[in-house]
Amino acid sequence: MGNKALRGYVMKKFLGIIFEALIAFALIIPVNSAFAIGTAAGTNISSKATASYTLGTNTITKDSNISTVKVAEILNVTVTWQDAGNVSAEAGDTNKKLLFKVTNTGNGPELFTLTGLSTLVGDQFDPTLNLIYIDNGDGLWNAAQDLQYDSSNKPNINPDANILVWVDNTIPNTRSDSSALQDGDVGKSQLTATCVTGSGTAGTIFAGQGQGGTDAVVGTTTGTANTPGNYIITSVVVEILKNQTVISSPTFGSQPIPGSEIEYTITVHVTSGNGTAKNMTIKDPIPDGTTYKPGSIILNTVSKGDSSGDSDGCDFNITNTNAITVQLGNMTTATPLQTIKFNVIVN
Amino acid sequence: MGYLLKGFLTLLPICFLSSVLSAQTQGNLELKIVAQKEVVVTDSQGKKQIKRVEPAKVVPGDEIIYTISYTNIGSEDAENVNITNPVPEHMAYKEGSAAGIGTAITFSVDKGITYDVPVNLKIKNSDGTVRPVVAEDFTNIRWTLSKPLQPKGTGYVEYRAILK
Repeated sequence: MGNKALRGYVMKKFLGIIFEALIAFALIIPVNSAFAIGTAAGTNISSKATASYTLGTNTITKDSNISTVKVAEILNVTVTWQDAGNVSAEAGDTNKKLLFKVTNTGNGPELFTLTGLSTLVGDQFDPTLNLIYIDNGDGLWNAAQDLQYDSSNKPNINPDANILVWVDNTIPNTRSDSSALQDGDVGKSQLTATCVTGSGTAGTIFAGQGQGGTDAVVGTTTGTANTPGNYIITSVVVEILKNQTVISSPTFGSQPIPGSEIEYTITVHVTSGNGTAKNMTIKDPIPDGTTYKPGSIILNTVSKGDSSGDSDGCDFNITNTNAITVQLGNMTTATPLQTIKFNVIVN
Repeated sequence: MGYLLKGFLTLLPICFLSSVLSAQTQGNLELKIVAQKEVVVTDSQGKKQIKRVEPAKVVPGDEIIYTISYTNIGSEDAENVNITNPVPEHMAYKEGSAAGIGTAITFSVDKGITYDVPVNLKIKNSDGTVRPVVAEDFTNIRWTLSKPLQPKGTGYVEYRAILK
């Protein structure tokens, strides 16, 4: 009796994907309250003083003139990168997207120009910029609902409101210096949003071009903003090992003769890499000349049923014919070693 | 005695007439309000100065200086002079900015119904508890002249507010 390493699955390397940037956002409703970021452009601010005084026994009141100033439009914008973390990608990936939020922090509605730039310094590779899309507001990518940005039909954003924007890139096969892409390499892609009415040095005035015919004045954000988002190359290295043990035999030998029971042990482990091996599934056909011993699947010392109806992720002869199937879910280097056992009887 | 009486009778109608005139014209006190912004001006020698200008337009964040000037253009003392001004909607009073020589300054947080010094003013929370006021709570400002304003007497009061 002894352990024999039957087959060793050595170093299965593949590039995994951590997560799609599927983050649900509550639709942000523009707020026009007294506490909004800025009093609306075009608002008239009026003030009148009143004096009361007595002359002898008479009380008299007197109003002043009314002083009025008009609120001009201030041009301000912010751009933030919305993905929860670096977006995992692999070499050659097409249509990988970063999510950004563009907020009109001025006090008048504005049209915005959107521009992408992926040839930035400070990263290991340059993504190839494709197209920009305006999200329909739910923060989830949907090609049917999230329409391509059209510079001839720029998006309007109301004061204190925002839009979500997808920037689409293709991941190259090499680093900027043409060497091979490595696990952990970062590539940046940036979104710039600019107020159509104007941008530039804070205080620059665009006479009469503000909301309602007031002047527009560039605010402290200079009327334009940009921020980069990151793609990161991720890989996982998975080690799968299998061996067998003859656990009973009609004779007390170690040779599997008819009637012998053999226990197979499969271990699955992510040994390195930043990525996630998603939906890891182990399938192992029952060897010719043997018969599966019903109810013998054990995952991490817990006995699992043979049927698929028990939703324990394990079955025999259902997902795959005459094979055991074990679902291990998503695995990373943090996932403990997974041990699968099942038994067969030699025919 | 009769001589004195005659003089008195002559005097009476004139007094009556002048007080009626005052009530009708209400012109004893001239009141003027001006809104200004401070700007930095560089003169021809490159020297920077802060000047106050009346702005054609303002933007959120701007600090506006409201100056109210008063003059007694009548011939009698104006007594118990109170000048009030609401903090405009969309603006927040700038803490500590109200000023006026020879005046006592009080504030209202109830749109001008009552006035008091800030330390006595309270705001009711939604749960019924009270909290001390902050500058943003002030709805009106009142300057009370400590002395009667004599004819030709003049002065001004001011405060600053930030456009939200």
